[in-house]
Amino acid sequence: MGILKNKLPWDLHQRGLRDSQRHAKKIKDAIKKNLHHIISQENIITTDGKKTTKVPIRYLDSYYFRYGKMRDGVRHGDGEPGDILRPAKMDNDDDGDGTKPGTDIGMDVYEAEISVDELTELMLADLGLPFLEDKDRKQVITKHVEYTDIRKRGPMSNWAKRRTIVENIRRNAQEGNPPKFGNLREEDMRFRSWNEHIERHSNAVVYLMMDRSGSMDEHKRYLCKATFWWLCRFLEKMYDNVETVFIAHDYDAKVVPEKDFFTISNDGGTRCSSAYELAWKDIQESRPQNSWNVYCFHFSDGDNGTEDSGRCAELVKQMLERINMFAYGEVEWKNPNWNSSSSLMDELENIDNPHMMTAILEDKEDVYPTLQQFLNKEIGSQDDDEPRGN
Amino acid sequence: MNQNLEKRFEEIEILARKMGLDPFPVVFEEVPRDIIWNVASYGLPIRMGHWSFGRSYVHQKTYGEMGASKIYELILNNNPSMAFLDDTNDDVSNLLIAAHCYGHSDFFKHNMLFAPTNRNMINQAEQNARIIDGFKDKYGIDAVEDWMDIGFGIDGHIDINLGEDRQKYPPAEHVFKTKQPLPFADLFGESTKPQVIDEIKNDTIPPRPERDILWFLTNYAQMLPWQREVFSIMRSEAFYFYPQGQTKILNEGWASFWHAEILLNYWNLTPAEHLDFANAHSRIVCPGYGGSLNPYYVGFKILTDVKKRWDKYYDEGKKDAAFQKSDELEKRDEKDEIVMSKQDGYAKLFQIRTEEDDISFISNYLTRDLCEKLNLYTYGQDGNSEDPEDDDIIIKDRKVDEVRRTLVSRLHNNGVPPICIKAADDTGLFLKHDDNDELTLEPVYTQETLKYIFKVWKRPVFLTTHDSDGDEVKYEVGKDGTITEKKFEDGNAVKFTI
Repeated sequence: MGILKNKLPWDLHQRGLRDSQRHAKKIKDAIKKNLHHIISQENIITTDGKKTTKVPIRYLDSYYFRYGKMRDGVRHGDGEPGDILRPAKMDNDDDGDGTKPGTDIGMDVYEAEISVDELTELMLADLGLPFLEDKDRKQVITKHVEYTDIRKRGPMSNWAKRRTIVENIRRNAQEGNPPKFGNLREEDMRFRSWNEHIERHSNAVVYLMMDRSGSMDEHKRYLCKATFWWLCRFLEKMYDNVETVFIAHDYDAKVVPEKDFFTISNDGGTRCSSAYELAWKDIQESRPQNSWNVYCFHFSDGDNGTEDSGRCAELVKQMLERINMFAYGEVEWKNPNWNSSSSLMDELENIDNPHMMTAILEDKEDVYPTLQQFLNKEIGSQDDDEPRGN
Repeated sequence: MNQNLEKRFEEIEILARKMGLDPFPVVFEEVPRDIIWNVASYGLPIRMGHWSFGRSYVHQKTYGEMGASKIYELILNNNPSMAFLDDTNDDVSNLLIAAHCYGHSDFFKHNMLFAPTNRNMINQAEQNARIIDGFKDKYGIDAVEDWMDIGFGIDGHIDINLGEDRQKYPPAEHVFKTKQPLPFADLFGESTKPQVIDEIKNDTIPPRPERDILWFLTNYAQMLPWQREVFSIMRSEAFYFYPQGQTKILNEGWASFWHAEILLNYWNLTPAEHLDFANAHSRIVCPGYGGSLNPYYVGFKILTDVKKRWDKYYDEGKKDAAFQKSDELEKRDEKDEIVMSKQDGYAKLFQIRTEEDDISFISNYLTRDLCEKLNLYTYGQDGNSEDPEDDDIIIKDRKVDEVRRTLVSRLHNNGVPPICIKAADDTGLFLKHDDNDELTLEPVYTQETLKYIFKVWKRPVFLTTHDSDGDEVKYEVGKDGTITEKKFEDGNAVKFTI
């Protein structure tokens, strides 16, 4: 028998590439399903936003009946019975490479590598700023790609089958043949093509306010930080031109640069109204209503004086006349036994206005739902007078 | 490939046949590495698409590109056999691989386990791929791949003894038997006339425990025609691949033994090439890095040992006139060890290649001496801690019996837990994990696999298995698809988890 050199039309049959794309899609779906768990991982929040990160996904496998316990095996080399080859709980991450007797059974945790950008895109795909209104000076720009065009050339992945068939039938008819599909020629081929679609929205400014008082312990600060971190990524990603103002407060409030916002902490008392006052002052002074969309987000543990909470509610009511949305997130320790929401929460919850939103965050899993709730672009796209569901 | 090499390939084939090998014709094809990775991931050049093949392709490609592993050749059980050579191989490697491939092809052709395999699988698989591609176009890629997930979940559960082509169970039928009256029946007040008894035969399905779960579901579950077709295709490919898992050590050992024999007897090698050959050989037939075991090496060493031993027994036998006259093929001493044989080394080897699989090969031919020489030991968790994760992994034993037993235990049923269908009716499908299997099932995988089966059977699915103490564990997928797991101790449920 002879030796063939590349005789078979291999390029037609390279299925590995195609199926690996299916696999990649499966991973993406799995990530999407686990987003609420994944996005609050420390290692993601601490990246600079450009890095890739490893995301553990459980059970990305087809299942089958398999043995549970690690099975004994055979190896070669020196040593006496009883010698320890590998102490317990070590090298857990290099199972299965064959060089060590790994625990060859065990949960398959698949580590997918994904860039933070991609992850952001996945999770923010359906989010947007609610209640966005047209204002005089349009500055907020969003971009997206739309398939709107048909061309004669293009990659096969963009092949427009229906159009190709129509063109083919048309040509057949023109050439006097029966107007049917057949005799496909290259000139019949049509491909979809895209245009970059730029939408200009009105100006928007976002006030991010965070409690940094002594009662905010590490757990609470982490929840705030994680939510704000994604909020910032979201704003960066979706809108080319959104202004952000960071306000940190304890008893007093001040505007701080972004890099300090996530690191500072203090041990003073709490007066939430200080932050609201500062924001409100800035809004009144430099954000005329006819040209700015204004969004306020405030995170605190609600450890605020009852009197001040009343003052806060008054301020927020005033602000809501002007601004598009006020969102308040309260971070707490999980306590199943009693409803621990604070006086501030009670006050703010009672404001009957769809533009006022509140959420409670108890653990990391709550970060994603909170973002979904606050960044629901569906609300406000209809009429505003629908009451907000709790 | 240059003309000179092509001529030498022919010489290698002639030499292989002269030395006793009888392979299928082998078609060699030089291909870029990417195609090698493709074929290695799918097991066949063109095969049905599924995301899990994509996963192994990415794996192959990643490791290949890193240079962590190189696949020099791939050969497929087919007539003609088809062998793929990495087009970056040097000439000497290619000669060695050619000889290696003739060894494999000879094994495919003659080993008994391979006898029922489809020798036209390369074309068959391509057709299968087209059929499944068609289903994907028609019914949607997600629907078809999800169904294939189920198929891959149970395609280890085939019954190799009953084979691929099977008839459905005979239908239930009434059997009328005439029963003669017992003597003295009248004394007991019974009728003295012959009685006709109406017996129903085959009224339960399956009539006996069924191991071929995939076959059973394909034939007895309600499903759409395309789903049935997908299952049949997957089952037929599972039968094709089954013997390969059962003969890895022997098949690789056989091919390695012969590439060495052939190249050592090949006249058309320069001294420099001989050196290259020796290098390549020791790279392929190495003990295994870091203590892990290389099947090529184990198989090669056992076969070399067999050859040496039987040549000796044969020579001993020739000296003994009484033995020559006897009908015995071999003579054993009082310790039941062979001392003489009428088969020489080669004859014994060819018998082994025809008759044995890895289990019998290891059990019969891995000797104590060889086990010591190869420095083999068994390892595993020491079992000192409650939680197996806290166990140290230790060297357990060096005795040949233990080594054999451990090597073989992983090969039984290709490592698939023995589970059979006990009964199936409208109330559900009843599965049983063999009590004699001392190993336990992994719960998450078990539950998910049962859910797969539920999707096919569409009625409750039950599985009875055991934990490491031998206590009964029962899984149940209820009518609504929810799963429960119950543990029993002395017949009483002690733990109930959902």
